[in-house]
Amino acid sequence: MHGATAREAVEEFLRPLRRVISCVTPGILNIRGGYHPSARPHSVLIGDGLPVRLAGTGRLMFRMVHHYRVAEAPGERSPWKVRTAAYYYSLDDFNEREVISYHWHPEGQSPIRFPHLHVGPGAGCQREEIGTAHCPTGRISVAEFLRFAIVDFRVEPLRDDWSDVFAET
Amino acid sequence: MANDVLDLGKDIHEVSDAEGLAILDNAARHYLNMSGEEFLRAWKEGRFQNGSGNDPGVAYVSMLIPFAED
Repeated sequence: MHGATAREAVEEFLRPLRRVISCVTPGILNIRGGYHPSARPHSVLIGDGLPVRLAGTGRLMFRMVHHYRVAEAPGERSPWKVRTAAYYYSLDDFNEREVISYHWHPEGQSPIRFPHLHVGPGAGCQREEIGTAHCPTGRISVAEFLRFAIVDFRVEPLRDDWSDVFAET
Repeated sequence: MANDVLDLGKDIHEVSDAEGLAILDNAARHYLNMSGEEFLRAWKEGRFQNGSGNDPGVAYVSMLIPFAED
């Protein structure tokens, strides 16, 4: 996401994020750090950090934390840019057991630096290795994750125009 | 066509220092049965590095650390 100023770049990043999330929950986004370049990443979180209940017969809950950095991209027409620094997207069941989650935390203490998914105990998979496996993936956007939740996990969208919103994002 | 406008005042909340600490504290208590302060101390001492990298609670709460730090 680009912008003429750092703030504009962050707003251009937040606008589609908020829109896709509004397709599944009215919960607000909380951000920390916000709008300026910094060595440490800024963070955006859905709600207060505890799982948000989703509509639909899949009976699922959603967590999302996204880290981003604001950086100058010299020579480009809109010289400020927002880059993803890490993410954690999760679907949990109503007992708060993780069903499936997508992670990327390339700068944390974990030795697992590549984007990956976890199949959690809420998925009911019996195979022993699954509980600790880091299944490699490409980088996943919030929009891709929520489309997956709607299409494959019976999450009911709150907006009639959800497919337009996702298509535009 | 979805042409809603982002209302930064209504849809996005920039958390204060106290709110950021509360977010970490609530999550640490909820997922790990410890305070946010205890979690931060243990995290900085590297006490989660051996094996607990697979604990989804640790992974998740660690993602909330920036909310509690400037």
